[in-house]
Amino acid sequence: MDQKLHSSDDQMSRTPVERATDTTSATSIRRRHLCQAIAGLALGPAQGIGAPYVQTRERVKLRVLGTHVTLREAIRRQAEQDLGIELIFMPGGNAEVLHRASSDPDGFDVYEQWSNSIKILWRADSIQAIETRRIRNWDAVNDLTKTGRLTPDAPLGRGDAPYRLLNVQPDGSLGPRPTGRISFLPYVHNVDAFGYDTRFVPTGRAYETESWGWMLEPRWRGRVALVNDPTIGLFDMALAAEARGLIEFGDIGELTKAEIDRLFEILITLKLAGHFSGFWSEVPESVEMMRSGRTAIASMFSPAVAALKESGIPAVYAAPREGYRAWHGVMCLSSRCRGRQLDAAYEYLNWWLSGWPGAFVARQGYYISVPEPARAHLSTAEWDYWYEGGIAATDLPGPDGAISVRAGSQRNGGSYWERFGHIAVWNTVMNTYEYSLPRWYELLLA
Amino acid sequence: MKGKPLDLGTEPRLRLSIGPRIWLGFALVLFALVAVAMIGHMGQQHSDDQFQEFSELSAQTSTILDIERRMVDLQRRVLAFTYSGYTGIVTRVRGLAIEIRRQIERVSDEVRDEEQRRLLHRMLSVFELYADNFEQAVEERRRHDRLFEDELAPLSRQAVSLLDVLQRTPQAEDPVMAAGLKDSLVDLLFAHQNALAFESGPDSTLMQEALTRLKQIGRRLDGLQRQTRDPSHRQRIAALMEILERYRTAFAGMVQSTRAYLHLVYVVMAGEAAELDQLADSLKRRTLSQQSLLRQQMIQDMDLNREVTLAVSGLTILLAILLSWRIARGITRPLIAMSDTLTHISEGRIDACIPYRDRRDEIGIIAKAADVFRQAVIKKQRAEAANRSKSLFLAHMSHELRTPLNAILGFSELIAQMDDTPNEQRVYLQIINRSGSHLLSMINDILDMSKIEAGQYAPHIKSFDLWQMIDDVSSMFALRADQAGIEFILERSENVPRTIGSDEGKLRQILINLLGNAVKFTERGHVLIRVEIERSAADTPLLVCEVEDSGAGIPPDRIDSVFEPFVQADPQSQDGTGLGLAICARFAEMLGGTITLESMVDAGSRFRLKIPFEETQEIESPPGIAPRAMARPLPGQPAHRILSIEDNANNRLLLERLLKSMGIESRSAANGQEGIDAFTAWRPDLILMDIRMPVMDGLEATRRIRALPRGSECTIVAITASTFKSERKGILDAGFDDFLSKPYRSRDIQGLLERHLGLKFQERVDTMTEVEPIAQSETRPLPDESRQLLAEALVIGDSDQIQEVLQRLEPSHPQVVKMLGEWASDYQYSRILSWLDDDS
Repeated sequence: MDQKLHSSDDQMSRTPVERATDTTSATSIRRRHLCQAIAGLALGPAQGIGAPYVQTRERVKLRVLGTHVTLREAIRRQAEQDLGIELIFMPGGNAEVLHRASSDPDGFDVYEQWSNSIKILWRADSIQAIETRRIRNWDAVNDLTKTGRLTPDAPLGRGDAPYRLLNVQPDGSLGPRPTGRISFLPYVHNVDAFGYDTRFVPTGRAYETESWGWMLEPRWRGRVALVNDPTIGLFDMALAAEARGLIEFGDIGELTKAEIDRLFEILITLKLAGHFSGFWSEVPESVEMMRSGRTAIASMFSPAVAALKESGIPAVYAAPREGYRAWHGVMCLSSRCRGRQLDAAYEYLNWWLSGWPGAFVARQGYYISVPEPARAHLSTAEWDYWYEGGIAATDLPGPDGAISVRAGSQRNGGSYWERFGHIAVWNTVMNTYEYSLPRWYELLLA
Repeated sequence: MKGKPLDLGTEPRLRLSIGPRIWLGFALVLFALVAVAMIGHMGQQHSDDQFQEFSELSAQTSTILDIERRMVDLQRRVLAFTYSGYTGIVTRVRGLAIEIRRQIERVSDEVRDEEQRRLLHRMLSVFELYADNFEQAVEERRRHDRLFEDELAPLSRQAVSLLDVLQRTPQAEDPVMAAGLKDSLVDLLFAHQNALAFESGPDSTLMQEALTRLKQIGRRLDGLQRQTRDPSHRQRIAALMEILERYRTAFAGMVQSTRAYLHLVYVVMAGEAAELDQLADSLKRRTLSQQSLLRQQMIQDMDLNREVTLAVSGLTILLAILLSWRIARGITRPLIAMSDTLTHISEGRIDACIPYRDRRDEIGIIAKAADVFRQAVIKKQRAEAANRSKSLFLAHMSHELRTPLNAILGFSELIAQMDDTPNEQRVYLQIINRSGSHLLSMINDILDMSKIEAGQYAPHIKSFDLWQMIDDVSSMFALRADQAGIEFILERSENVPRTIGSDEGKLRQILINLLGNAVKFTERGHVLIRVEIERSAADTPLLVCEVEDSGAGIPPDRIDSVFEPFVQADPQSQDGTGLGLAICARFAEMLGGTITLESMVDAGSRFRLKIPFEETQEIESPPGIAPRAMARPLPGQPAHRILSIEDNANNRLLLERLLKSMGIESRSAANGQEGIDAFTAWRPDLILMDIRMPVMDGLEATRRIRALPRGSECTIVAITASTFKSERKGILDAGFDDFLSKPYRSRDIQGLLERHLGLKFQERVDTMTEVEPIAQSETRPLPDESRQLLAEALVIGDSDQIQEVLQRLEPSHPQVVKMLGEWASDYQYSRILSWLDDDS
């Protein structure tokens, strides 16, 4: 039982928007990284003739900057074991790692984060193009990032769909046309929606009655929580407002200033009316909010819903008829990465698509861009449950080996392909991002 | 059933004695009071604790509110910093952060509630993140400022000036080169403008445009560089390209820093601030609800405390009432009952029931003691009754003694008055008379003593002339002392007031008795009377009279008994009754004083009388008057018939002879019936009727005579030896016109005849009495009313009334009163009556 709880917690803490937690250790980790960042800045000018050219016979030390979702001890040990290199994981919060990566390419070799950071990093010249020929499983990488669709009928999704950012175009820009050079290696991805407590909110039907609009229904006033991240929460609210017919957007993936103003007007009015009961920053917070009854419906990530279910709260992760908000993980190479480091980095990238890591993240509820090798590392029951959207035939283990899914349970929203056939928008840093920040601030403290 | 019967019911109740019971009762009440006090104290303590807690909660609430306020202030300043980048704000923010952290830590130390502590811990950790993020934001902002100020601005100037230099070079004359350079300048200016615009208002499109322009310049310059052959020109273009690359890097860095600090401030820190707000709100609500709960609890506890205190107080009051009731029922009521019983017993109601004798506590003991007391009272009553019987017996005896004595004195007087009585016989008769008088005085003493013992005397306090009284008594005894050949000395102290308030008669009698004794028992030497006043600050003044003699003295073993009745200092002495000193002592006692005796055998005795007196106004002594001479029967007056009804033959004869000697026709009857017969047959004008007679007593006879025709016209005078007032009053009520007291003398009869029949008598010298030394200076006759009253008092022997009348007469007739008073104190009532007769 304890183990299970641990596993749930474990899952929860590995989420895309993971930032520093509220624990002292997390704070110290933050501090450490801050110091490193400052140190890195101080050393800035000297780094031009730094590490990349140092040749040693020692094991290569690969520095990986990323979030807690993928920078996990189990993965690090497995990779070190499989690759014979030394891995230094530098996990941090989204904003932090993005900032560090964009401002100090010398501070890391491999960068693992989300597709919405690609534009920034690419423009900042923090990352270098990846040669697809050096990716052994490149051909096996599915079409989600190559064409934008897993299935022929699937919508592309608004915003920065990863396929539009993948290929380095001859003019140095990023685009959908394959050139053999890519800005990132696609790997972990998933779709997000909202979760609701069926003790209060009546259970709906996936893709039929379940709607983003529920989040703004007046009857849940005072029981609605949002994720405190404008690049995510703003889309949730845009989808919700549009679903309720409060507003119509030209392009929900690229809101104009006027649309943002209008949206925030609606949200601030609601906030002042007491519609929102909180803004969570970390997955455990979102779990606690629903567990304590502070929320009945909230922006959520799938591990949070799994944790709630495990603790006996009849929560459901919605499959909204308007479609999901999708996200995609990216692996990037530092623009300063050279030589053995670069070789090791390529090995590390290849390792990620080799199967074991894919199976690992599958047990977290995420998908990998090369599913087949991962399938080899999954039982049929696991594959059927995680990828096919079927009913769990047996109790299924979490990434740490403890039981995390009970036999007989099933995920709302169907199979991998069905889910990615319902994408409304991809997490995106819009051009109005800077503009939205003060408005978001306004919303938070309204 | 055949066994020994159980004796549970009749077993005497074992009861605690009163002390422990009262102690136990009060201990219970005390315990209850202590309990009330304890409850009060504990309640107070509890309230104090609660109030303390309440104060702490209030303080916490206020600190939490303060933290909230500071948080708002902090957030405001952070926002101000975001817009301005002023370092002063940073310092202030840091100061505020330290204060807030301290406050949170302090409250965290103070709170006891686990949930509150958890909230505070979370608050602190969130706040730490907030503070850290602020530092990071500050860092980003500085980096942004540095990149903008130190890199972008100078680099753009360098690039512009380098372009300027390039445009002036000969190679610039080439139109392609010129156009390229010109376009590059325009792009550069646009890019910089965009950068400036981004700096003032971050916008991704501005950034994108700037980067696009820079990229265009880069491509263009790259082309131009390739065109140029001149190495220096190429070098210049390369330098320009390098500057522009540096510019681009700086711009990207600035953009990233801007985004970073904006994200930190607008999203991360704002989220944290919102969370802090939320936490502070929860904390505040929790503290307030605790406060409210505590307030309710306090009110409840206070109510409870009040109720408990009231209940226990009520219980205490009930207990006290119960205790009072128990004490009243078990102690006070029995005590009152016992007190009543004892009072009854002491009042002589010896048949009073004594309750609680079966009780085993103090009440029972008192009851038993009361029983003992009752026995004592019974004994005492018996003794008193015996004494009273004795006194009554003596009174009656003296009365009975006086009756025959009457005949003796009367006849001896009568014989002595006869002209044909030889002188020798006359002397014998005088001896008989003196002896009779002495016997009478002794009987009077016994009568006095009996009256005292029977409680028939009361003191009559009046103002009187002390000097005069002392002078009178002294002159009386000076003469006797002189005759006895002893010296008589009067020593009167200077401070003796003329008049005092006391009972003159009794005082006089005391002095007469004392002096009489002194003179009697002193054969040679002196008798001294010393009069002084003894004053002490507090008490009433004392009159001290010492009577000293140089007589035989009294042996020490007899000193204590001389004041007892019937005891004489000298057992051999046959003279007197021995009652004189006893009477003195009783009178002195009656006046609130004492008589003491110092004596030495063969050296003399000293009696010291001390009586308290009232100080009065001095009165002036009026001039003295002498009584008028006595009257004698006159011839030529109408004849009157007088019937004497008397069972005693001697007295009957005496009366007959007396009346005969007066020339008055008289008859006698031996009892009431004979008397009635005589009345019917003879029709007398006046009847002298004895009261106690055989066959028919005087009362019955009188009643019958009055019932006869003309019976009411006849004057009937009772003759009685009774000295009891009540009896005399009954006599007058029974239809008698007057009465004559036994023993009577011829003068008494004379007065009677004068009063009732209007007979006149010739004046003559009473041979049986001494010549009066008082001058005839007081000429006014006594008022008839007073005379009548005095006569009645004298007849019935009522010394109190005699004194009363004399005192009333004293202001107008002091000398007469003085004389009569002396006689009265000497019980010479007949003499006074004679004088009254003569006076009228």
